[in-house]
Amino acid sequence: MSRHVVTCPLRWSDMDSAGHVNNIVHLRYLEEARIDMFALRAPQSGVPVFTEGTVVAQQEIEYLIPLRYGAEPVRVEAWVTRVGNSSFDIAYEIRDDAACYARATSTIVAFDLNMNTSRPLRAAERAVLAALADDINDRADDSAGVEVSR
Amino acid sequence: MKHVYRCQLRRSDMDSYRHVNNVVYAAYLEDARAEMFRAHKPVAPFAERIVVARHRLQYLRPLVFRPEPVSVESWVSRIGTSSLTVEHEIHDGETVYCRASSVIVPFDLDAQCARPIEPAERAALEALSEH
Repeated sequence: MSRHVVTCPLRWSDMDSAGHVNNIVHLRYLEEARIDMFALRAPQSGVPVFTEGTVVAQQEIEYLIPLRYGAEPVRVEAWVTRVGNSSFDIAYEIRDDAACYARATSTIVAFDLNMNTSRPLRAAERAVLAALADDINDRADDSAGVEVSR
Repeated sequence: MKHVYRCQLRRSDMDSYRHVNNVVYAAYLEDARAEMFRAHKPVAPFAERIVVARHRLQYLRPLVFRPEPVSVESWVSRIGTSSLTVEHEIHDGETVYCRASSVIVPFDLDAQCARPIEPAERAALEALSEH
C-alpha cells in the first residue's frame, strides 16, 4: 500500500514564455506517471491488466507554485483514492523535497476500445489498484513507495 | 458573451487509442482562451500576462480526428480581485465532448507574482461574462 513515485526529468522546452513549465505539460507529467504506474505494477500481479484500455473521464489540477526548468528532476507521486465498478480515482503530487508544485486528481474509466464503451474493472485490475491505495493507516514500513528511475 | 473558437484538430492529436489525447484538450482550451482575450482586447497582451491556477476538465465523449474543426465556447463566469474563472465547452453542434473550468490569475512576469485585475481589464472581462 503505497504511493507510486516516478522521477520526472524536466525539459527546457517544457517552459513557456512566462518562464514556467506550461500548465498543459503538467498534465503530460501526470499521464507519464499513471502509465508508468500501470506498466510497472500490473505485470507484478502476474496477469495482463489494463491492456484493454482506459480513458480519462475527469481531471482537476491545482497549480500551487510555478515550476521552472532545472537539471534536477521532480517527483510525481501517484496513488489510488477510489475504486468503483468501472472507474477509479488517482491523486497526484508533482513535487521535490523543497515544495509541492501541483496537486491533481483524475477519474479513469476502464474502456472497451472495440465496443467504444465503458466496461467493469476485472478482478486482477482491482487487486492492482487496491495495492496502490495510499492508506495512512497502513504499516509504516509499507509507505516508502517504489522509486523508479527513468 | 460567449466567444466561439473554431479549433482545427491535427491527426497527431490522437493517441494509440485513436482518441484525441486527454492532455491535448487543455491545449485547445489555451488556444481558445488566447483568442478570446485577443479578440475582445481587454488590454493588449492579457493572454500573455496570466497564469493558470486551476483546471477542471470533464471528458464527456471521445473526440476522434476529423478535418472539420470543432467549436470551443468560452466565457467568464467569475471576476474576483486578482483571479477570474473561465468556462469552456468543446462541442460540435449537439455533441459535447468536454466541459472545463479554469481559474486564471493575472501575473506580473517581471516581479513573478500575482497582480490585481486592472480596471480596464475588468471592464473588458465583464463583456465576456455569462452566468
